[in-house]
Amino acid sequence: MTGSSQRLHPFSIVFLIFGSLKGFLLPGGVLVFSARNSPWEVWAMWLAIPTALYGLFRYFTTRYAFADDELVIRTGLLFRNERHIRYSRIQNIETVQNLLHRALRVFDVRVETGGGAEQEARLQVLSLDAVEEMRRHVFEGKQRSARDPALADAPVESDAAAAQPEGARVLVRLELRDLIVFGLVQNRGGLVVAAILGVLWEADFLDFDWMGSSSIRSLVQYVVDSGALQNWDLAVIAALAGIFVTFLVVVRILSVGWAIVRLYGFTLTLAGDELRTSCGLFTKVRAVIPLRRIQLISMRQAPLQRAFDRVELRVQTAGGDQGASVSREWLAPMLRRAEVDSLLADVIPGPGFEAMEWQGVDPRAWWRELRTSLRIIAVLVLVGMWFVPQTLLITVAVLLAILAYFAARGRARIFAFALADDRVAFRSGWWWRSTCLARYAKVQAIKLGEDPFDRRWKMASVSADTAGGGSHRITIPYLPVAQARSVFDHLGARVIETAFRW
Amino acid sequence: MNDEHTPPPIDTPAPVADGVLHPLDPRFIQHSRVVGGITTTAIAAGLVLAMIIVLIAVDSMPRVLRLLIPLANLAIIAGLGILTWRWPVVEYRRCAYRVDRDAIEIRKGVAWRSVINVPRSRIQHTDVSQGPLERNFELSTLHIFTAGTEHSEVTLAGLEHSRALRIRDHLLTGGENDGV
Repeated sequence: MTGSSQRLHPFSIVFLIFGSLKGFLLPGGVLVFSARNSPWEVWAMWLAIPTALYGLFRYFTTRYAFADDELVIRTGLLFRNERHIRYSRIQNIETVQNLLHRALRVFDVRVETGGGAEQEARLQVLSLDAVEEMRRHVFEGKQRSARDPALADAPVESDAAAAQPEGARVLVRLELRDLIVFGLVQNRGGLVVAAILGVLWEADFLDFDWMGSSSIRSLVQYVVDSGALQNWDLAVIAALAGIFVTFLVVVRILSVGWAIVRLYGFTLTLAGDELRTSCGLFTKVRAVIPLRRIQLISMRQAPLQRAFDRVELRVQTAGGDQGASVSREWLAPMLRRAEVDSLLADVIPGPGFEAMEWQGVDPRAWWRELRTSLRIIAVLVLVGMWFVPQTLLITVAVLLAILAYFAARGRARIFAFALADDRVAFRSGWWWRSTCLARYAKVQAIKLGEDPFDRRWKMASVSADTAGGGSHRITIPYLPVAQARSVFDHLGARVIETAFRW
Repeated sequence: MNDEHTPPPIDTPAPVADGVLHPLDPRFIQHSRVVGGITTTAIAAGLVLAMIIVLIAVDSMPRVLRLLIPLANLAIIAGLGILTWRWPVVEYRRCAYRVDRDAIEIRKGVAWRSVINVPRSRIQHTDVSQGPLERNFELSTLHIFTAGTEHSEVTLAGLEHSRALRIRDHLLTGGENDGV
């Protein structure tokens, strides 16, 4: 075991105490500014003191060390915990810097091994040198460092992309214009609205008089009382439509704001066999993902993105994605459709999405899709007969059926899969299209499935399970039984040939 | 004569890895019947209890209902009984597994059928577990864990215990080339 154990950066005290106290900040602030002053809440604030002391305690009891092949983190005093994380198991390293971190030139470091739902280690905070040392230890021992010592020693955390190490290549860089388009097509405004409403709710702004007008609650009360809802005249409808449209526009503007704050200066860099991403206006998030850790690559296209001919491309590494920041997954939040394959060629050399030979599913697939939808519509109609006037019900049912027809046709047309030398790809979705790709070496298990409906139509599905999370999986439905069988066998044979490396 | 003393070549697959589709141990049917029987008995007891309470508590009940309720109860319990007796056979027929040098293939499911192929090199670890009933029938369940998401755990129940242990040993040995 080499390397002596080290303490976190002294500034950690600030962040650990602040982190412990975070839970008290919002209620505390509300207590100061709002009229609601229940004694219980005031007394609860005294809990902040032991909490802060706990933060201090954590700083003095946390030590880490770089052993030959593992990272060792010791925490605790009475209940000691010593965690050993093998370098070879580390999936990615992420550093987060908010404004305070940036002012103090320190980094909040998260290490993930793909074990559980959370990151395996969080070191807050480390200095630039310590982060550098960590990165060297974790990713050293690969031929790259021997071949190109300059690369191994180059700082990963240099602030400007211009100072990237020699041999590193910027694959994707988003300009402000891209971010605006991204914000427009990706509706993240809802998140912002939800956050604002949350704060307002906490602060009781929704209840008492605010900006001289009566509260929102009494506004709703007024609308209900005035009987406006009984006689829907044009003015009311126009006003409601106006409010709705304004709301949509505001949400889109907030979405653009969100995109700029989160993704400002997004760059994806390929350095040796590591992918590095960096983004953020105030809080800078940087991630290092070794290429061989990529389990699954997925491409998504929402309707508006299709209109702009843009896609978003993500990589899935093994392990819990719940706590991880989304920005780490992004290969490119925003990319022209035509540029996807050339980016893929850098990340996993071999045929890209365009170059692969896509095969469709059974031609009867659309009919099965439609039957499923029609069954649901039939149930809705049966339930609706008691509540809805007959003419309205029939109109809605017919419209839904027409929509279902186009959806079924569209979905069946898009379903496709491709098998290449070392990889399998699958695409699905009509309005929201998803395509994903995995190398055989990253496939963990293969399944041939037949549900009762499949059997009636002599079809089956084939799925290839990987360690990568995410909602889109490789599950090819509606294959004729014989074809499903041969795809299943092919996958099995190819997967066995390859050795899985974490 | 000498042949008996020469150790088998290292490359020879273990006896379990014969690449042949095997059914489960037939005792699994009895085991499933006992498990199903316990469940059925519990449900039947609950139904009978509920029926007695209803019949006693509700005074003004038409005589037809007084006759129909016990009959319906009886029908449900009889149905469950038949299911308990027949289902394990149907299920047993649909379950099979195949182990070869490189992978294990598991087939199961009556309505939702599946064939799952787990390459040996993808197996992270395995468990062989035995419940009290399984112990009684000398059966056990093999759990195979992979790094996958949907199939992070694949189970195969109804193996003869010693066979399960041999399969486990086969799955775990010789996997040094997987770059751990």
